[in-house]
Amino acid sequence: VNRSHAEDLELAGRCAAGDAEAWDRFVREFRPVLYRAADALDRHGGAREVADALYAELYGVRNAQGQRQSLFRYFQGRSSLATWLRAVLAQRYIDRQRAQRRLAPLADADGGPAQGAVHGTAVSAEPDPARAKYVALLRRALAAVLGALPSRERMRLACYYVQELTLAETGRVMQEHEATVSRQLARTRRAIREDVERWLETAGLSGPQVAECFASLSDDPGPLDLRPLLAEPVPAEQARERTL
Amino acid sequence: MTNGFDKLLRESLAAEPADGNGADCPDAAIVAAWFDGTLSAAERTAVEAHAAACGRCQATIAALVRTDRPAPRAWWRAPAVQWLPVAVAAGVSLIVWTGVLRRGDDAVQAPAAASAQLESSSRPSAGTPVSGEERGRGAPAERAREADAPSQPAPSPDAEARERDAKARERVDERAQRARVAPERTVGAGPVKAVPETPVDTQKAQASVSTPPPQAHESVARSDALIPPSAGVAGAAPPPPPAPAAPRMEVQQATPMIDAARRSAERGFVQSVAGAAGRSGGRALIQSPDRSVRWRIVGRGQVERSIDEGLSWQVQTTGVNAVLVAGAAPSATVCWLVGGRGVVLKTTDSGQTWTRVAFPEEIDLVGVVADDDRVATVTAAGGRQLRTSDGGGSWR
Repeated sequence: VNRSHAEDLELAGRCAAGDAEAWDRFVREFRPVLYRAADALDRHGGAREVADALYAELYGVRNAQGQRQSLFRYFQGRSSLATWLRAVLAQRYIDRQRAQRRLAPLADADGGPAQGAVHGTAVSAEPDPARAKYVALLRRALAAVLGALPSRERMRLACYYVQELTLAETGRVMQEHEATVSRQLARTRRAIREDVERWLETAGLSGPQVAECFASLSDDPGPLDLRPLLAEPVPAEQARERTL
Repeated sequence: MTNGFDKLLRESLAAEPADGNGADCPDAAIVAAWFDGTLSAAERTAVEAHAAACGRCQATIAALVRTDRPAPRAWWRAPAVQWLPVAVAAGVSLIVWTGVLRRGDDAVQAPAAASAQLESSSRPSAGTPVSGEERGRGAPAERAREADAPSQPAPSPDAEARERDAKARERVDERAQRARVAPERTVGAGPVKAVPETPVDTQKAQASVSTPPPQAHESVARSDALIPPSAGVAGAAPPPPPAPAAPRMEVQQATPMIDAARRSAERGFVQSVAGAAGRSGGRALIQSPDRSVRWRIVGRGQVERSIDEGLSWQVQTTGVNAVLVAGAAPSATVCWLVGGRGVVLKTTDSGQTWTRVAFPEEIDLVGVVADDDRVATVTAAGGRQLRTSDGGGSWR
């Protein structure tokens, strides 16, 4: 679908007003877009339900006054209709995923941080107190340094490290070239590391201790990453969701 | 260590974002505009600042990126298949060409063999090896037809010409031989390879992007199932125009900071969307200050005007075949209209004549506010605004 925003706005307006011909055209042209997006979000069909529900709202549901209210009224023509549809779908799908995750039972029932408990059992039966202290210090340092990062750099990092987008996809979000993303990520990562070192020194650690801090990371298997342990059956999308 | 540090970095980043409940998040329209790159710099900065600290928005953006995949290419658009017509055409051309050559050769040689009236120069004898091409085209029937063909008086054969023909035939036979041995794509390698591969592929790729996937029949076949089954929806007549102050739905939740940034940019746009909210039967309504006078956009380049509060309408043709999206009527006689690709129209005589106002850019215009017939501000799809204070003579 490659149309101008004005044409999209016109089509959306007509659909919102209940024009059957426009709705047919919308279904013909945009239904494949929406379903393709749903399949990309969840290849097991989970997002199709969201897409179908979206169709109902786009067609219009009657409010208390008996007037039909269509979701199309909120399309403002600031983007293409296809992108807007994908954005609505993505937002709803993510909301549903997050809601489902909140409803899932916590791994740790006795009040401790579930993540820590999982890591604790996974890392070692006999954790080294010094190493644990260094890792905790590093976490605090990282949190402080990340908190001071400019939002753009932080967004780039989040796209790459947390959302696990490729360099090209990260570039798409940041509107940067893939090579620029790569360069910027490397630069930011280097800066973070230097800032963390400075933070640790400010916290009273000596040079050798700071080095030991980082060295402890190489010994520390780090947070338990289940993905390599579990074979493919876990869908990639769900795996990504876990990292949020 | 690098791996450990990266893991820790990833974990810290994932742990940091606030678990936004969506109330402060930009709505889908803003996210989509961000993705399409149509936000202003200020808006973009505001959205980025929010998303950098919001896990929900990060996930939404990531999901949006992942869904931004090109349509799967239909089998008939596969590069190998797309070459097929070219290869077939080239093959047919080759066969026809060689057939013509052979026919011409036979026409020269048949009389020589039949009547021996012409000089007994180099006609290929029965012992001449049958070329691959001959074998390939079902030679017996073909040759029988050729033999049955009425003999034409041959022009007096020139030895040089015959030699040239013989050489040409050999070349053709060689090509046919190669074509049979090579895969399908290289059939008629000569003519096909004359077409540069990369530009053609690029053109096809562009065509496949710019044209909708040919799934119309499938979509139509399934479209019945898509009509929502909700009660009171199916078969419902078009509802009356929704009120401009319609209740906000969840996708319309705007961040206050984003609102502040975009309020000024969208002032005119929101007014045009109010026009959309005030659509009548799918037609954008443009109300003039005079209560009884109003316009409405009814189609490509067509508007209607009412002077009795919409009880009756008179069709007006603007003379421009363009999508019209929004309008503004600062008085009962003046009306501005805007649409796709930089279309700006204006009337100052109640619509008896419409003039296309020159606009500097071919961008989609989605809103207009006008003070009179000289001062107007149009809003582009990206939120950018241009203003004229001399009736459209200049914009800035």
